[in-house]
Order: sequence, then C-alpha cells, then structure tokens
Amino acid sequence: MSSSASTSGPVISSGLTPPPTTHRKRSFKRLAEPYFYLSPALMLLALVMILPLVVGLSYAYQNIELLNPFDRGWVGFKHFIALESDRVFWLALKNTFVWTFGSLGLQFIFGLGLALLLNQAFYGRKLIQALVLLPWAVPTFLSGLNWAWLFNPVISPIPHWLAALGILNEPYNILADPELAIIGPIVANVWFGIPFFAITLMAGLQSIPKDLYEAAVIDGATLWQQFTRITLPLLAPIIAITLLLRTVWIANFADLIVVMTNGGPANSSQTIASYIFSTAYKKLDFGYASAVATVLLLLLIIYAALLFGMRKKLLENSGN
Amino acid sequence: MSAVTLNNFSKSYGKMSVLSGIDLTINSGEFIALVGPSGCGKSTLLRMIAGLEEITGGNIEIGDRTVTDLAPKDRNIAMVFQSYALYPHLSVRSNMGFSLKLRKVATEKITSAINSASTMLGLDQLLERLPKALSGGQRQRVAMGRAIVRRPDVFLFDEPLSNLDAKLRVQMRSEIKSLHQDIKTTSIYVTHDQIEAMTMADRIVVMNKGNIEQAGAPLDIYDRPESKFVAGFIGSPAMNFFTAEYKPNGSDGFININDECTIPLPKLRTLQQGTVECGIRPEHLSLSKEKKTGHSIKVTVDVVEPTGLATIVYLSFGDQKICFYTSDRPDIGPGDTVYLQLSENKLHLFDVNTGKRLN
Amino acid sequence: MTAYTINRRLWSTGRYLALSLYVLFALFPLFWLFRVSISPTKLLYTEGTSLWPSMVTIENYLIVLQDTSFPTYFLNSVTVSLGTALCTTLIASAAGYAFSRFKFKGKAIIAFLLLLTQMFPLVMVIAPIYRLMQPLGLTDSLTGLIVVYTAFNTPFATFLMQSFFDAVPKDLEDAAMIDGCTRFQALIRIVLPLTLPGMMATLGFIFTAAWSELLFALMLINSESQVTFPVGLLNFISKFSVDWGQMMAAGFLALIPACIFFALIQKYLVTGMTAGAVKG
Repeated sequence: MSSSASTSGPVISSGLTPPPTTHRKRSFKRLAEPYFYLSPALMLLALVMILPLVVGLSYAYQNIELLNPFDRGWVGFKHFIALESDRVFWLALKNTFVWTFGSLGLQFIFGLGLALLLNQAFYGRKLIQALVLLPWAVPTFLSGLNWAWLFNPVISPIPHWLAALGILNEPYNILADPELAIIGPIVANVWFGIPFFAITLMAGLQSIPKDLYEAAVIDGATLWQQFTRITLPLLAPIIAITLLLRTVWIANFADLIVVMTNGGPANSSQTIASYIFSTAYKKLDFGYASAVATVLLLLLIIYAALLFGMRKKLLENSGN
Repeated sequence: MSAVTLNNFSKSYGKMSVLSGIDLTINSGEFIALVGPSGCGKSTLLRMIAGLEEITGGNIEIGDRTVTDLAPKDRNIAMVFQSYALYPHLSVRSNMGFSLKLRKVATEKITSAINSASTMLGLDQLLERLPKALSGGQRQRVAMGRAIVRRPDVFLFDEPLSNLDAKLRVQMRSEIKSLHQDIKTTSIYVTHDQIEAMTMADRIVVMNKGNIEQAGAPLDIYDRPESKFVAGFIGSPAMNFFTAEYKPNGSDGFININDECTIPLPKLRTLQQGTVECGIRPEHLSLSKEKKTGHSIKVTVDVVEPTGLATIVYLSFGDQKICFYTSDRPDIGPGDTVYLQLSENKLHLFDVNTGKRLN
Repeated sequence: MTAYTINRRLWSTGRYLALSLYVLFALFPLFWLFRVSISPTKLLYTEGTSLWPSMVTIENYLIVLQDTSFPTYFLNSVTVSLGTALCTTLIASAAGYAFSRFKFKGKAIIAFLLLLTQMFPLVMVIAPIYRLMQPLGLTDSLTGLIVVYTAFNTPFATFLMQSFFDAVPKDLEDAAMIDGCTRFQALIRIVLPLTLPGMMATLGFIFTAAWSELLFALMLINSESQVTFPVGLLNFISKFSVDWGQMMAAGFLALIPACIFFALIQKYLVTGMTAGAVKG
C-alpha cells in the first residue's frame, strides 16, 4: 500500500521529512491583494467623506463665518447653547418628524399597495409597471420644481380641483401658507418614493414560495387571512430593514424642501437638514451649521440605537 | 504522466483543522477516487492539490517537482468541476483552446489538439456553440475536452457527474473510465457516490473527518473494510450492524447473538472477551422458513421491496434491524416469521468503541 | 354566476381601477410639465387649467436652446455625470471585486463603514468640503464636483458591483487559474466580460444619481460657465420672473437623459434597489 492512514501510527511514505517550506512570499501577496483592490475606494472615502466629517464635527466648536473672516477661533459650546434659544431650530426639529414619518408612512402604504397589485399576472402588467415606476427616474430637483409648479394656481389645475372638492376654501398656493407649506414637499416625496418601496417589496413578495398560498387556499384561508398570516409575517424582515434605512435617508434628504419652499414661508417648512444647508449656503455660517449637523447626527445615532435595542428585545422575547 | 505525492498535507482555518496530516502517494497513471461523506475534506484536499486552496502545512510533489508554493497555473494540472465551469461567453472551441492560447501555443497546434479531443468526445458538431446552447451531458464532455487538450500531468475531477441525471451518469461513468484507459493520465477523482468510486477507480481512498480511513483497491476495501465507518460507507444496500457477545473458547472463540445463535470464530487478536460490533453485508445472508440446524436467528419481516433485478427485505429481531438482499424472489410478506442464516466467514467484527476491525 | 366568480370579477375590476389611479398620480405631473412647455405664452393664463391648450408651439424649446445658457448647463451636467459614472464604476468595481472574492481582515468593519457613510447626513460635510477643496482649486470646477460625487456614490456602487460579482460562479475563476491565468488575468479575461452588463447598470444608476444632485453643485459652483443643469434651472427661476413655458421646456429637457438611463437599467432595478436600500 502506498498510502497510510495518518492516524495509524508512524508514517511510511516517501521516507523523507518534508523540508519546512515557507509560504511567506505567496501568503503576503494573498493577504495584500484585497487591499490593493479596495485602496482607491477607501482613500477616496477617507479624503472626501471621513476627513470632512471629522473636520465638520470640529467646526461645531468654532466660529467660521465666511462673511466675517476676522472673528475666528474656538468658542466651545457657544453654538450649542445658542441652539437652545433658536426658535427656527426647534421648529425645524418638529418639522423633521412630520416630514420624515409623514413621507415614510405614505410611501410605505402606497408602495405596499402597488407591490401587491403588481405582484399578480394580468394583461398589460409590464407597461403599467414601467409607467408607475417612472417618477423614481425623475431627477429629484425636477420632481421638486414640478410639484412646486403644480401647487401654483396660476398654471396648474390642482389648487382649483382642491378648492372644488372643498379641501381648500379658495384656489391658492399651499406652499405660501405657513400652516400647510410642509405638505407640498411631502406630496412630492411620496410621489418620488412610492416606486422605491414598490420595487423593494415586490422583490420580497416574489421570494415567498407560491405553494404557501396554495396550501392556505386549500386550508380555506380568505385573501385577507392570506395577507395577514402569510404575506406580512414573511415580508416583515425586508419591511423592517427598508423602513429603518429609509427613515434615515428621508431625514437627511433636503433637496425637495430647498427646491420647493426653501424652508419658507418664514421657516415654517424648514427641516433640520434644510436648515443646515441654508445656514451654510446662505449665511455662510459654517460653525453654526456644523453644530446643527452634529445634533442631527446624534438624533440619527440615538434612533438607530433604539431600533437595534428594540430588535434585540423582540428577538429575546420570541426566544431566538 | 506523473506520480503525485502528498507529505503531511494539512489544512486549518484558524484553530479549526480541516485536514490533518494526509500522506498519500498516487502512482503515475493511476486512477484514484477520494470518497467520503460531505464535509470529510475530500474536496478541500483536491483543491489544495490544484493550488486553489492555500496549504497550511506539509508539501506536495507532482512528478519530480515540489509544487507546494506554485500557483495553480504552474502546476500543469487540469480540473473538471462539478458545475463544469465553462466560460459562458466563449464558444466550445474557445473554451477548449483557452489554456493553450494562454500558453501562446501556435494556432495550428491548438486547432489540431481541439480537433482530436473533440473527435474523441464526439463534440465535432458543437465546436462553435456557446455553453448555454448545450445539454448537461454535452457540457460535461466539453469540460472533459478542456482538460484533455492540455495534456496535463494530472487530471483532477471534482464530483463531475453529480449534476447529471441517473442514466447519463452511468453512461459518462464508463466513458470517463475508457478515456482513462486510453490516455492513462494520473487522475484524482472526488465523489460522494461510492458506486462511482468502486466502478471507476484503480484505488479508493475513503476519507472521514479530515483523515484517511482506508486506502486500497475497490474490492479489497469492499471485502475487508478496516473500520466500521468504511464498512458502512462502501456498499449499497449498506452493511448490517448488530451487537453480539464475544467469548473465548480454548484456542478459538465464538460470538453469541441475542442469546439464540452462536457462531464459532478464530481467536481475535486484540480482544479477550466482551461486546463487539458485528457487520455482515445484505447479500451474505440467507433466509429459510424453518429453523435449520446450526446458527440461525428468528426474525420478523417488516418490509419487502422487489426491484425486479433483486429483492430487498427488511427484517428485525429484538430491537435490531437487518437488511437482506437476494436475487431470488422469496415468497414472504410483512409480519411473517422466518429464520436468518449468516455466512460465518463473511462476518466482520469491529471494536464497539474505536470502530477498528477486530478479525 | 356563482358568488365566487362575481367576487373574482369585482377583484379584477378593482385592481384595474386602483392601478389606473396609480398611473394617473405617477404621470399627471410629467404630463402637466409637457402640457405647459408646449403652450404659447399668451394662452397660459386664459387657458391655465384646461387639460390641453387650443394651440401648440415648440417656441419655448427653441428659446431655451438658442437664447439661454441651458445648452452649456446641459453639457456641464453630462460631463459631470458621465465623469462621475465612469470613475465610480471603475473604483467600485475594484472594491466590489475585493468584497466578493476575498476573505480579509477588517472586511466586516469596512463594509459597516461603507454602510455608515450612506447613513450620515451629507449636508453635514457640505461646509468642510467647501473649505477643504477651496485651497486645492477644486471649488467652482467640474472636476471638483466629479471627485465629490464619485466619493458619495462609491459605497452604493460597491455593494451593487459586489452583487454582480457574486453572481459569477467562483468555479470559473478557479478553472481559469488552472488553465494558466493569474488571478488578475482571470479577472480581466473571464470575470469582467461576464459582469459587463452589471457594470453598465451601475453606470446608469450613478449617472442618474449625479444628474440629480443639486445641493453640492449649488454650494461649490459660482461661475456661470460651470453651472450644472439643476443649478441652472433653479437660478433661472429665481432670476427671471416667471416664464413658465420656457422653464418647463427646460425641465422637460432635463428628463431626457434620465429617462434614457432609466430604460437602460430597468432590468436591474431590483438588484440596484436591494443592494443599496439606502440610496434613492
């Protein structure tokens, strides 16, 4: 026998003890190779995202106003103390909640509805799908402008229709109404965001095995029961992750508000994200803008931590 | 043609050891099958021979070269994958010629090498097609062709037939075997299918948990398994196992099954007396309706499975189960009580703790 | 008819009704954009709310194309978006390949960091980026925009490319390496040709993302000659009182490249959105 089981005592093979080979040279190449492919991406991110982030965090404790170049220097917590008495900041904080959860809730409900409608075979499905998903491809600034125009009674029928339905007492531009202005960007955001939810949830729906529904039908489940007992539970993981990520994304998303209302009238539709932008862009007050940004970052971290905590609790309770 | 020698070949991921100190010599021109259950390390071993998997310890020689630190491309080997791994964007011809082209072989030589391989495998009509336009069996042949064109020192096969349907698998099995008989290149063939291993290989290496359990000619392994693991793994239907008491009797010994049957045996080398694991293959049993003189066991028929070619009968006595295989068509049914005879010279005895062969 | 079949008909009618509402909601804004862009200015106020004007004109488009700087803006946007798409796809392909094919130290941490960059408010770095890029001469330059956009889009594109590389069986690379390739040759000769459609899709995703970006362009660009389309359109609105027809004609023109790329990536929408559930 030219081989011997390694467990059965001394080995008789080639009769030579193999020389201690060094794999160092090849090993080093193997170890270094992935970093070689990663390095351009990592370097770029370090320079254009991480470094500015760190620098930005330090701005929050300095006076940096481009319009006031002689008043520079470290100011400690001055900006944060100023925040407390900043009426616009607190208004923007409130608006951020309305904006984020208003948009998110509507996007999700309509997106889920659309996904369910599109998830069955019917005549003309491909065409309808392409049409209803089109808003997603429209550049965000254009979505914003488009909807800003649509709320203008001079050139759009929508305010007139709303008045005819009795929703508005006369056809006027709700973007100019401090009470209602925030609704404008929310509508535009919902219009723009439904396709995203629809597609993500459709991918989730398609991963649910068809035979589960067939078994449920044979067991006598109604459509509603199929939805609540099969669809929702199996879709829950993808719903959870999508909602989490979208919340953060929408909270950070300032374009629509900047384009449609610029935070106005009189800051009534300002969110934290748009407030950061206008403080940096219009007032060129980078220090204060960074302080506001620090608060937003903290809020998002707390939000994520809370959600992860809740998830852990849920998992513990369900015994997994 | 080259021999392959593995010295103290081992692989571990961190602290987890996958292969521990494998020593194996594969002779020049030999067809060797590595078998074992999934996770036994056979595929890892093959991929280490190919150079696709880093070697943690030991070394490997192909022919007179030590290739331990060489890249796969420098080992002069060819491999047939389970998934075939045909390049989807290249035609059959380009797939087969790819390696020669990389080696900058002259175009005419490549063409003639492809043509002779494709004739051998019956691929002449398919050379310009893309892999997606081929059937499973044809893809398998192209994968073989790609390996042959190379004229490598060693062929490596990684479960090449397991994606084919049963009928095609049997056909390709014999094709690969006759191919090897023609070109006689050293071949290492990984499979979990012990029938493939038995039918194709000159020598079988049975692996379990990262170790070689036994290596030897197919029939040697079948007739004289060195451990309970090998005994149970090789053979279908699988060998029957039941426990019995072994006692010495003068210069000989005997075993006692279920207090009703005693079988005399030559003395065991390593065991004085005690419980042993008995193994006997289903075809080494016989059944009778009446109790015959000598050593029979009273058993109950559970299930009868006629396959046409043969009949498989599942029996039980006490809480032990036994499978019986015969090319006859016995006239029995479930619930019947019958008597089972064992051919005593076909009995395998194993240690209950280590599983090592005792007789 | 049984109650069962009636029920089924009701469902089917209901579905078409609901879908029509969705289609209406999705298309009406775009339709209206088009409707105003082809209305003669003099009819705008008299027929402001009728669904189709009594007269149609392409005059607005001609003015936009001939008498304004929009062609320059358009060209600037194409330059920036194409540049960004090319750079990002190149860099992200390399990184995605590393993620797909290697096990290495710090992989989980790097992936987590990439994900994190998608979570933090980009407006946060708007001020520091301005200050850091000014001394380098990268403010008020299209190159600067390309650098910034490339960085922002790289994490998403990396995850996207990783999923495309994951779809190429590892066996193919192994086979190529046995056939005589180095790993790099296997990447170039075997893996890349197979991921080409995926790279095109990534190109499309990043192009549309760069085409839409507004805030950083607003902040970083000052001179008229470097203005991108979104900024140009926004300036147009604030500077010139209100020439609705021309604005909407310009807006409609901005839709064109986005729609072309949308068509290009239709097949990959699901992959793209699930790979970057964080990205619009």
